[in-house]
Amino acid sequence: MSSSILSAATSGAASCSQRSLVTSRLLVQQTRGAAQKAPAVKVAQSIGGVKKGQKDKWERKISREYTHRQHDIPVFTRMSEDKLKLPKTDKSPAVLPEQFQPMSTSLNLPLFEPKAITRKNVGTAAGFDLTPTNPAKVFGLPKKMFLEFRILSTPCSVIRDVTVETKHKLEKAKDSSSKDSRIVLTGRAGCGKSFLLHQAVQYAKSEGWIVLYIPRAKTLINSTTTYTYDLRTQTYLQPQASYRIVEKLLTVNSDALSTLTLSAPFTLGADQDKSKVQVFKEGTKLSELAQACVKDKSFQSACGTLEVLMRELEGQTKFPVLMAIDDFQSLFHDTAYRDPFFRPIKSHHLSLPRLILEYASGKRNFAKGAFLSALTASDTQYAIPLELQDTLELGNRHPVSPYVQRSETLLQYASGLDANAGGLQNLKVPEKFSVEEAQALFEVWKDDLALTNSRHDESFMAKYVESDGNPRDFVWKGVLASYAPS
Amino acid sequence: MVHVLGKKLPDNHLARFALTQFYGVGPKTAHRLCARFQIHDKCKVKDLTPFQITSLASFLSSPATAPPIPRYPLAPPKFVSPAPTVPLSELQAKFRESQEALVKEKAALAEKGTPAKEWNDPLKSLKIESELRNQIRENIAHQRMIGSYVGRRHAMHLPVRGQNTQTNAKTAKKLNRLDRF
Repeated sequence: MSSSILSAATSGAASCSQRSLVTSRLLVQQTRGAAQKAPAVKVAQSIGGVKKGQKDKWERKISREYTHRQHDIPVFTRMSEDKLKLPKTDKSPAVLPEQFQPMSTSLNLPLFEPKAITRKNVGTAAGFDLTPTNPAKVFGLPKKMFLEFRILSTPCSVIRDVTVETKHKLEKAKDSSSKDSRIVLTGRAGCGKSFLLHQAVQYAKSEGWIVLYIPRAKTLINSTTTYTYDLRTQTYLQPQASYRIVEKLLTVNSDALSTLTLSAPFTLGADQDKSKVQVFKEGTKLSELAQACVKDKSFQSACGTLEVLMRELEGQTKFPVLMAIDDFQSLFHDTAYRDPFFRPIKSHHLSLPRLILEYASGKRNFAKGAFLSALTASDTQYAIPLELQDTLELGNRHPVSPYVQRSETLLQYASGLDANAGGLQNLKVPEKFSVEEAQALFEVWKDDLALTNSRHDESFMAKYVESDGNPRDFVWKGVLASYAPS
Repeated sequence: MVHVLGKKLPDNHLARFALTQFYGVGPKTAHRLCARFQIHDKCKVKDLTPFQITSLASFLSSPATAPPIPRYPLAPPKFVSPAPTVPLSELQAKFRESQEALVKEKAALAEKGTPAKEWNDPLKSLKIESELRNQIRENIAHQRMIGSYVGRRHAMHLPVRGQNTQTNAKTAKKLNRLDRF
């Protein structure tokens, strides 16, 4: 009986591909046993009907629906023993090699904390703690760093002499305005600018700073979030991006924000729907304001809230504020957004890039804190523009004509709107690892079982020389890309 | 699922590509349409606001009669936004006055005999769906009426643009006709 229904179902579905899948599903569910106990399949919403024989493929595709992926630090999971065993041959059974025996090979690294960043510790690797409010977990990471941490069993980095130098700069910046500490990290592609910026963020967070970290600034300008023109600010607001920043700022700095209060009353939603206006009195905690913004899922109040939060953080002197931007050079390009006339929108006409450029140029400053940014030299879509190359004296890879037009507006933002106060400081990250630093990183990968042969000294020297000491090449093209069985 | 002018735009599709469902709208026109209504590149149809959907629908129903786009001012680097106490309605009123002043200036110039150069909006001359099909039918009918080579080829169901007919004229033989569409 059931088999005849099944056959009817299959023939029915096969012969008439135009028939709705819901009907065929009902026919199949009349069978007993596993089919009835199986979980309900998502109703496939095919456009124009499913072709003969494609139903299963279509339903499998639908079940792998996109879910919002979190930019969390990935958790390392070991492969199962079966996959690590050498395959069995006629002569020998499947054997688990010695290196993969279940001894503890976890990386026992010291914690990356402020007291560990000293000249004595230059050339040692230190791991990051994975608390839920860690800036890396909440704000995310630059893509290449994310990929590296995906392979490592614990996210870690090497303490270099630039790390110590940056720490000293931040110590000095703690008690002075951010106008005096606007730093851009520059250097060759792969020399460790993003890693250094990340270390600075971790240091600042441990020291109790308020941290705003944007690991991929190009996501603000590549037309992936909503934008609307605002007549008051005469710029294009970015509600969705502002919402995400307020949410992350609140998560990472909730303790600090709950001690700070509004210095003036603020009306949320004054320009939008009159019925949803919320008034916050003077003395309201900033964390309450941020929570109210986060609850409003329509993103309407995000831009105004972020603006007020930044103004309050500028004025307060209780906590130093670190604004850390990676991919900084992308803010000096035309964005992928278009205005109604189909002209590309300049970055300084979008609310968030404009905010960042204002802090970079010194037009707006934190009473206590620093502005730290890193360039990405390896991005071909958003290359380092001439304005930055000129201002930071980076030198040109190719001869540049003096007749090539530099945008005056961008030059202003690059050099600081008030020329007397001095412009952006250029902190050059060394192009090469020192031998001790390279050794520390090599040992991390060795302990994490990334090396395929046991001649460690030889392979270390070979990879160090081949990569010319460049940190990224040393890891990706040296340690991880070599296969030399012992 | 949104229905615009009788076309079904699936929720999970990017708005920029969903708009190409309309006959006469390709990737370039769709990009321009999205820019016009401030729809970002990665916006899905389900993320469109009701205002955006209605403006799209009203625009596409008659692109030629759409109102001109206002030229909103963009903040220079040293711009200071007005205090929050100034209501938005006041700012909008000021903007409308400035726009009316511009229109008067243009009219005055046109009277003098030196009309200001206007921006040629590509979307103003956009034709989609039935309008476009009518236009194509009229063009073919016109070619036939004047007795041109193009008209004759359409009438004979043969290739029009000098392609080979000894072999390979299958598409032309199938589709070319006077009452195409």
